[in-house]
Amino acid sequence: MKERVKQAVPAVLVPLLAIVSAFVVGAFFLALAGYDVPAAGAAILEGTFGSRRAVSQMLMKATPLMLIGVGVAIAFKGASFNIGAEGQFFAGALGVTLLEGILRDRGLPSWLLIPLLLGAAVVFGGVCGAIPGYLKARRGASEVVTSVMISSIMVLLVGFLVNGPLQEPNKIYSESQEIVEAARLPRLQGNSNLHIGIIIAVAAAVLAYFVLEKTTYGFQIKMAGQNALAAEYAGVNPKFICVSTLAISGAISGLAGGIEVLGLTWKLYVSISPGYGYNAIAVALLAGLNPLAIIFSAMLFGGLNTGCNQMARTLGVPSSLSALLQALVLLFVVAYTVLQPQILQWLKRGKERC
Amino acid sequence: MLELIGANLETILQSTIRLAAPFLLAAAGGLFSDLAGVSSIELEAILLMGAFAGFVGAFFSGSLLVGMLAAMAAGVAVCAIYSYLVVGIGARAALVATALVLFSTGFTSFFNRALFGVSTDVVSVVALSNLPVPVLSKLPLIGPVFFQQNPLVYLAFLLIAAQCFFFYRTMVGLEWRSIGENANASDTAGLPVRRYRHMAVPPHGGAGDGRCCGSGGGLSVHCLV
Repeated sequence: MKERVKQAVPAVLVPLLAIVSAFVVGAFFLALAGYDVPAAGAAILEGTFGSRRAVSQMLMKATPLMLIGVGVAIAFKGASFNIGAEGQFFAGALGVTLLEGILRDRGLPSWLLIPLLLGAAVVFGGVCGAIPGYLKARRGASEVVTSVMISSIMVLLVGFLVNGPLQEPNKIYSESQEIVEAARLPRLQGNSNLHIGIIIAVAAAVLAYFVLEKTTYGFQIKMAGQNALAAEYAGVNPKFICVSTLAISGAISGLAGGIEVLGLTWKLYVSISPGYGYNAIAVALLAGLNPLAIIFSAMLFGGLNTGCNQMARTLGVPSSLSALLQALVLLFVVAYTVLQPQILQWLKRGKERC
Repeated sequence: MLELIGANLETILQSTIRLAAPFLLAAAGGLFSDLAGVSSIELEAILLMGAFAGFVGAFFSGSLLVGMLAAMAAGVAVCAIYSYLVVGIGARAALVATALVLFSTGFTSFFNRALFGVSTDVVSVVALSNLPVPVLSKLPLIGPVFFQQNPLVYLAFLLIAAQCFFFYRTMVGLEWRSIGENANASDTAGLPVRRYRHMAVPPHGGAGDGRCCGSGGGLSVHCLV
């Protein structure tokens, strides 16, 4: 038992230290800007756990983070850095909106319509992910750059479409027409806000964990990620891994976009994502790319988001503090992951001295 | 045909050059580190912080020069973090860059609100004015287009010229490029790879930001975005 705890320490150390460091720096910035730090902290906690509504808000914010985080983790494990998840999210949302517009008047039942729409989201997102994958496999092009470029294209494309061809009939707001009743995701029992997206997200995380840890394909992904050359000698096709992991990553991010539209917003508009694609990278890294841990880190980030919104309402502190904190967490996770051996040694020496 | 959109060829070309200058300065700055083998994906972060620092500096001191220096200092600071993490301890450039970009977005948005509030009036700073080159600006079309711009535009083009000379005609430039092409071979040949790479990153910060300040008042909107 004690041995297991000892083994778990390094894995938890980096995320924990990163979170603490990020909050310390965040508190420093708050103080610098002249805000009351303890009050801000209290407001954040209240916004996260204070009421049933707060918790359901937190879960709603966590859903896309969890899904995209899982997708990103799969790609990262294969050493393909999918930074364009934001664009894939928008692509999925766009796919859902387009197909819904086509199928709107057919009067299809929910059990048929929703899977079809989510399928479109998966396809749109998957294509957006496969393109950088293909370019990397075939041409060695940096998937970081290509995925970011495609992400820009998708976001701007959505912006263009909701102002023009896809704009709602009254032509007042820059958003698409509200989706029909049958296309909306069902809500969970007894709670008016929570939709089944959270269940899909958790299921996806568990499924991803299973695939990564218990299937041959998952093992191949990990192999290719650690050492592509060795993997190739062992019979793995690294190009296939590259394209497929990025396609899967894109597909899951697209699914997240589709779920956001069908479950929460019911229409497409430009600000549908407060940077979910990029924050999901932080979520995935904080969880050490472990899909089960992503469930929790997504909830942490979701809580941070809703908590900071609450803080903005009650104290007037800008809610962009949450973006700042999330970025700081990412920065510290990246730094501490590289410095992990040194940190562990420093701690060991500290223990010996005691 | 241009009269249909009420435009004027000269004005269009002039604004094209003017709008190209920020891209040029940023790319030229990025070139310093790209040629040394350190990818410059975090340019976005540098530009954001530079724009913010430049604006804040100019706003609170009333002097554009202070603003520009503040912008360059901010750029160098971001680059120093990037260089420490990527060149110093070897973290993944893509991840560090993403983190820095997210950080800059959050930081500028947060402090913009904190310092200037959420009013709808655009806070502004007096921008750099045009500096026509004495004789050349009188030439028929290319005069106003190329030679009646603000100083930072001239700086951008001069910087490119300087870089062409530096990288292809000097010893240091040659060593710089060879480190970028093949770090191992350069190391074997005795070049101080790490030192060059550390050096490579900051100038790219400084150059990226000089431009931001020059764009003046519109910057506060840029920061909000």
